[in-house]
Amino acid sequence: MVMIFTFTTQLSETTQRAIYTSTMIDYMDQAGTKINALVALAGIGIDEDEVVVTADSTRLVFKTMWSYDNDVLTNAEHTIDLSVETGMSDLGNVITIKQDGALLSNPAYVSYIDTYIDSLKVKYYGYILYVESMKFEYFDEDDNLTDEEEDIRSAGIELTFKRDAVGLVSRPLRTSLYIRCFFMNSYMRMGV
Amino acid sequence: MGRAMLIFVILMTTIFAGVLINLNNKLSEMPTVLVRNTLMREAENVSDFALRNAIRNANSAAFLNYHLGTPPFTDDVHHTQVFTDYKVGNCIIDSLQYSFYNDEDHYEVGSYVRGELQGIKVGRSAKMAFDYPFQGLSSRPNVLYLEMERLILTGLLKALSDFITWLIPGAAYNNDVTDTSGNNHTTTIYSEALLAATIPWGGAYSRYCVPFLGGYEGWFDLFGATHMVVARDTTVANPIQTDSSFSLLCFAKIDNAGRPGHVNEQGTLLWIPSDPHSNDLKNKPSAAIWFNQSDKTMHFTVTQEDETMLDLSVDHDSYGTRSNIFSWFFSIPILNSNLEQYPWNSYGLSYNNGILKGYINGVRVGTVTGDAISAYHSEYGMSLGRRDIRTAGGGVSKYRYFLGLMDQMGMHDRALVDSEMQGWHNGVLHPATIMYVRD
Repeated sequence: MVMIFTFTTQLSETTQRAIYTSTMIDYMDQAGTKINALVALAGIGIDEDEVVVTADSTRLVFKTMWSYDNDVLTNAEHTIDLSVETGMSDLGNVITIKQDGALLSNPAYVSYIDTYIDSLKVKYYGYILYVESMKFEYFDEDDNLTDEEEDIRSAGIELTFKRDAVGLVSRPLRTSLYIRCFFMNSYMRMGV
Repeated sequence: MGRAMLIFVILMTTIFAGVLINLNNKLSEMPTVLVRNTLMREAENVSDFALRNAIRNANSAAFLNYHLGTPPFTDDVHHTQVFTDYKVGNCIIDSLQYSFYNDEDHYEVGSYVRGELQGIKVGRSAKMAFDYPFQGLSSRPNVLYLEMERLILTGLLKALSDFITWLIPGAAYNNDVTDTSGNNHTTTIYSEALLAATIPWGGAYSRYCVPFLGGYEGWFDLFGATHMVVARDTTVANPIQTDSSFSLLCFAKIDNAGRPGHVNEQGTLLWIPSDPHSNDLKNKPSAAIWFNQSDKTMHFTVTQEDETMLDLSVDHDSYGTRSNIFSWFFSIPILNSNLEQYPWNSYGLSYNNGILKGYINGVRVGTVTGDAISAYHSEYGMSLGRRDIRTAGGGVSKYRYFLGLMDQMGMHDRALVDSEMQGWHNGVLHPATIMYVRD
């Protein structure tokens, strides 16, 4: 009897962890796609050496002529601020995306993103949830690590997500993703 | 003992079966995750494929000739390829969009793709632009914008064109003055003047402008002096109306010498009449930009709803001794070499609830403040090149025809701020281009 109980419980937990891991990977994949699409806007209409405003290990601020909030190209420069905020959600830390200092607010745009990535469900505009940490490193055009804002042509982003599985609160699941986002618009301008 | 064991086995089997069913239900979600990820990757690749095709088409002379005509293009050209069932794997390419700004080297393309697999749906769009001007993307006057990017036939040439069309149906020349604000206002040129000149100035993308041969009784004025009228159309999304906030804009080269015999009659650029039938209001436009030849002053005028006229007058003699653009052979005007040497000047007017501002070449040249009320509501559209006066008497001098060239005439439904006026001026003369990719 003990063996059957143990086997059943173990099977249940293992399966639930597998399920939650897969859904987290799915969520993480979509979050990575979203961040990659966001960083791809960097430098639209901006001189390549003026694109990055702030390049910290936990925060990236860049300039673009694309209004992310309205999803349209404009005549004005915008700053996009990508960082992790703590204590803003019950669902872990969140990645906030600010445009010109303000959190994204356009529900139409968020719904567009929902369509774009299909089932990405974000509770707060511009937020990506379940985040434990986000770390940046930066590279120049020759893929050498750099801290000089004017030399940055790509960013490596390591995302770590943490989520408590149902019934397994004491044993949270962690999944990590490393994505390399290239500032293609800066490269295009360099080629002129 | 045996009965107890049987009950226990049944109980355990039931529990075990319940757990398995529960796990099975949850495990069934796994393929959904996999399907979505697979579909997203596929859509990404198909999007790249579609965008590649769009760029290739945009660089294909055969494609452009077939769909858009032979470059160079006149106007801001847009074309959408819509596909009904262009399937690539599990994705469908819905459409490719092309926008060209005057020629084949300045373009923006976009692709729209969607995918569906086992009930999971994804959508994806991508855009790429090469040397596409910002002027073509935004900041376009949203009430009226006459960019004059098409050769317009007038007078005898138009009559000849009409005759050819009559002989050969289908050979009609597109003689519309295009309103690129999106409102498609109808514009009529009253003239027996020159054909609209092919003037390669006025901005890198401006090939044409309108020569206004002010005056009357000239050799070319068989059917009336040159001017244009934009009919008021309340059915469009953004009709011409003078209310509490709006802006007027245009570029011009003013012939400072004036027409012989009518020197002091210069010259009306843009004129929105308040009430052209009223003797009291005929010279009080709801809004106007006009030049006074006799004292070389530029005027920015708005009549308010209480019939108070605000007028900003500033000295303006930008061409100095190089005064004339047209030389005259008897009454026949001939564009002379000064035309090439004279720079284009821009003129702007903004009105915001009692505050009138005038701009020359993007720089604010003055402000006049009245009561914080609306401008006089006009219902007569806009006249370009002469005043819209419909009262009897007064001779032709009352119209104050314009002599010179005009281009990029427009109207906004709001008061532009200083930086926007400067931006518009710079954008027309030196359009900033952009290349970008967004996928």
